[in-house]
Amino acid sequence: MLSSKKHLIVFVSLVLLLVGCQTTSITQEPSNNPSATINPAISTTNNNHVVAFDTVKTIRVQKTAAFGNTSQSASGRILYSETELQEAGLDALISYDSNQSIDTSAYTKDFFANKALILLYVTMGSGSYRIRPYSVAYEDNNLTAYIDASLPGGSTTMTADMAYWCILLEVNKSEVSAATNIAVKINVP
Amino acid sequence: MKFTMHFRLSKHKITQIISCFCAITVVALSTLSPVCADADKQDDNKISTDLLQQMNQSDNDSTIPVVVWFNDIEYSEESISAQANSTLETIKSAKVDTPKISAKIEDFSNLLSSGDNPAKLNDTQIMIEAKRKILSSLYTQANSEKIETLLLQNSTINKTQVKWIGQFSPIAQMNLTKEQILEISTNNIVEEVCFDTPTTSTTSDNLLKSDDPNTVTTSYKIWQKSTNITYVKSLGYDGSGVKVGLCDGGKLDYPNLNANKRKIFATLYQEGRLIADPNAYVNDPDHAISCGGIIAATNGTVPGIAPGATLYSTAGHNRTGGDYGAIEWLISRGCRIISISGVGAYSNTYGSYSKWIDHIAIQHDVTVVFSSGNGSSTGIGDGAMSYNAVTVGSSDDRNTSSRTDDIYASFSSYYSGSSTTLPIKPDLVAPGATIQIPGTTSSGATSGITSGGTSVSCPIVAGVIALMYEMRPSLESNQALTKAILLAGISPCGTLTKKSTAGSTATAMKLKTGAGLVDAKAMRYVAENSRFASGTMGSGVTTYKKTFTVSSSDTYTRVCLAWLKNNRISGTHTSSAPSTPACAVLYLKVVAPDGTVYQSKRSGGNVQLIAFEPTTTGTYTITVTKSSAPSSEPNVYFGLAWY
Repeated sequence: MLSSKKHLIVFVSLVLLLVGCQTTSITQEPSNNPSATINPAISTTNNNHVVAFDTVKTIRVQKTAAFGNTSQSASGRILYSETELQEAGLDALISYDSNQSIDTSAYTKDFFANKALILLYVTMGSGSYRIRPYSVAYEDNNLTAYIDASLPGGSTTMTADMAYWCILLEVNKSEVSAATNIAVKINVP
Repeated sequence: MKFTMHFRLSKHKITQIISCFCAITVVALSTLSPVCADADKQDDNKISTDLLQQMNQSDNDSTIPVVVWFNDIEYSEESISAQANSTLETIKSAKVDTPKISAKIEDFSNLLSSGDNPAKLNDTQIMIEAKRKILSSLYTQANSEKIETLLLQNSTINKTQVKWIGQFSPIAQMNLTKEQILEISTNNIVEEVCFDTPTTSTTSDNLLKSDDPNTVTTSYKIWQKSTNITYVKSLGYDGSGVKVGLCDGGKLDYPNLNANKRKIFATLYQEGRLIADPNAYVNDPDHAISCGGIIAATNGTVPGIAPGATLYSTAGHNRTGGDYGAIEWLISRGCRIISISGVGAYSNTYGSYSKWIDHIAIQHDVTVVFSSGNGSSTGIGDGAMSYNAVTVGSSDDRNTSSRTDDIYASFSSYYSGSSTTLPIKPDLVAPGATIQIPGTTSSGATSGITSGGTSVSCPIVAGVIALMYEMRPSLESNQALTKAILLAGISPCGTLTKKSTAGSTATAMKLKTGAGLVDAKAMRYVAENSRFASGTMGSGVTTYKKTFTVSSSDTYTRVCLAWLKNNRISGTHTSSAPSTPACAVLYLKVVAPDGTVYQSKRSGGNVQLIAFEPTTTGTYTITVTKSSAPSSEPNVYFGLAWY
C-alpha cells in the first residue's frame, strides 16, 4: 500500500515537473547528448533560421596561432571568396597531416558564387575527445556553430594531450551572408 | 489589470514552485528508496560517496562496477624485510662464483619477480624484487580466499561477477547489484566498496607530423636544454639499468607499428628493452609513441631522455583490471617508475584510484608520475591527487633555451579545491606547450611528431627520474627522497618559482606550478653530492635536525621535505585509514648562521619547501618537526634534500 502511494507521488511529481519545464525560456541550448541531432530552437522572427550545411572534414591538426592556449576554446570565421580561403592558410595548416587532407581545389570562384565556407578552430584538453559539428543557427545577424565533444564509451578518463581540430562546413551563401558575427559553442559531457 | 498581472505572475511562480517541490520529492524518494531500504544492514562508512550516488541512479537489477577493498594482509614489515634480505644474501654469495650463479639462475628467478638475470641487479633492486615477490604471493592467496568467502557468504553473487583480483594490493573489481553491494558492505573482511570509475585511459586521435620550424612548437633540442637534460646527458647518463613503465591509451607493440614509427624505437627493441604487455590492446598507439619517445626514443641525433632504460608498455583500455591491472603488470615486471599521461574527471577528488596509487607506491617501492591534466582551474583528476605520486603540470617553454622566461601553460591543471589537508598539485612542471618528440626527425625516421599538454610533461619528469636512479640506484626504494631531490633540485625560473620570506611560514610551493620547472642539472647536483637525508620518524620522535654549509658561491638555496602518506597498512586494518586523506603533518624550518629563520608550515599535503637567496655564509640548520601523525600509523617515512 505504501509502495503504491509512493509510486503515485513519483508519477504525479514527474508529470508536474515536466509541466513546469514547459514554462521555461523559449530558446534552449542544444542537448549534451553526443548523438543529438536536434537543432537548437531559435526565434523565427527576423529571418532567423537553422543553416543547412555539409561537413566537409573534421581533422586534428597541429597548433597554430589560430588556436587558443586555454584548455578549451573555439573560434570560427566565414569565408566568402577564394582570397579569404587563401588568407586563412588552410592549405598550410592541413598539409602537416600526412594521413588526412582537405581538398580545397574545388573551392573556386564558381563555388563561392553561391556557397560559403565556415571554418572552425577547436581546442580541447585531450585528444581522446571525438568532435562533431551538429548544428549552425542564424539568429539576429549572429551565427552560432554548435559542436559536440564526447569521450568514447562514456569514459570519464582521457589522455592529457592538448588537441586542435579544424572543421570545414559548406553552406549556402544566402543563408549566412547577413551574419556579422560567428560564435562557437562546445557541448562537453 | 494590476490584479490580472499579479494573478499571472503568481500562477507562473506557483507552477515553478510545484515543479521544484516535486523535483525535490523525486530526488528525495529515489535517494531514500533503493539505498536506505536496508539501512539496518548496510554500513554507510564502507560505501564511498560516489558509489552511493551511482546506486541512487541505478535500478535494482542493474550491476554497477565496483572496486572492493579488503582488509589488508596481516604481515610484519620486519619479517618481509628479513626474507628479502635473505634472498639478497643468497644471491650475493652466489655472485662470488660465476659458474654457481649460472647454475642457480632458475632458483633466483623463483626468488625474484622480474625474470631478469639477478647477476645484473644491484642490492636495492634485489631487495625490492624480493619484497614484491613475497607480497604478491601473500596478496594473491589472501585475495583469492576473501573472494571465496564473499561468494560463500553471499549466494546471489557468482564468479562471473568478479572481473579482476589484485595480486599486489587488497582489491578486486566486481560488477554488483545494489543489493549485493549492501550485503558485502556488512562483511567484516571488506573495508570499503568504491565506484569503479573507469580508469582506463581512452585512446587519442592520431597525432600530426611536422618538421616545420616556423610553428610555435618547441624543438626537442630546446626543451631538453632548458630543462638541463642536455647537460646531464652530456655527462654520460642515459638511464641505463632503470626500468620505466608506461601506462597509456595504447601499447607500443613494436612489430605492429608502421615502418616509420618502428624506427623511433628500433635500437630499444632490438636490444630487448622495449617490452609490451601481452594482455593489453594496441588501440591507437600514437599517444604512447609520444610519451614513450620522450622517455626512451633511440633514434636520431637527439634521442629520448633515457634511451638506455628499459621501457615496459601497457594500456588499461579494455584490459582485464583496467589501469589497476595494467599498473600491477608493470610492478610485476620490476618497473621502478611508472609514467601515466591520462587523467580522470577534473574533480579535485582523492578517490579510490588515488588511494590505490598511494598504497602501491609505498608498498612496492614504485615512483608513479602522473600528468596533472589540461583542465586549468577546473582541477585535478582522481589518481593524480595521490600524495605519493609525482604530479606534473605544464610550462610554456616559448621555444627558448632560457629557463627564466618560461611561463605557466594556461591549460595546465592545478588543485583548485578548498581543502587545506590535500596536497598542492602539481608537484612541479615541465615543458608541455607543444614540443617535438625526440627520435622522430632526422635519420629518415618519420617526419616528426609533435604533441602538447601535460601528457608530454609527465614523461619528461619520468625520464629525469630515470637519470636520477641511474646516478643513485639506492633511491629506487625511497619515493619520499626521490620527490624531495626532484623538488629541491630546481634553479630559479622566473614566475614558475617562488621565494620564501624570512619570518613567514608559507610554503614556497606555488599553486599552479608547484616547485617550478624540472631541472636535471640541479637534481644531479643534489643527488651526486649527497645533499640529502632520509629516515623514519617513529612514535615518540618529534624532531629531526640536519646541517648544511652555504658558501659564497651559493646564490640560491632550496630545502625540500617530502614524506609518504602511509597507506601501507598492517594489522587488523579496521581503522579505514587508507580511505581518508589522513596524512602525517611535518613542518620544516631553516635557521641561518645569523639567526634568520625560514619556515614552511603548510598543514596539508606531504611536501614542505623553502627557497631563498642566502645573505650569510656558514652552517645552516634544518629542523623537521612532526606536528601530527595518524595514531594507527605513527611511523613517517621522510626524505630531505637541499640545493
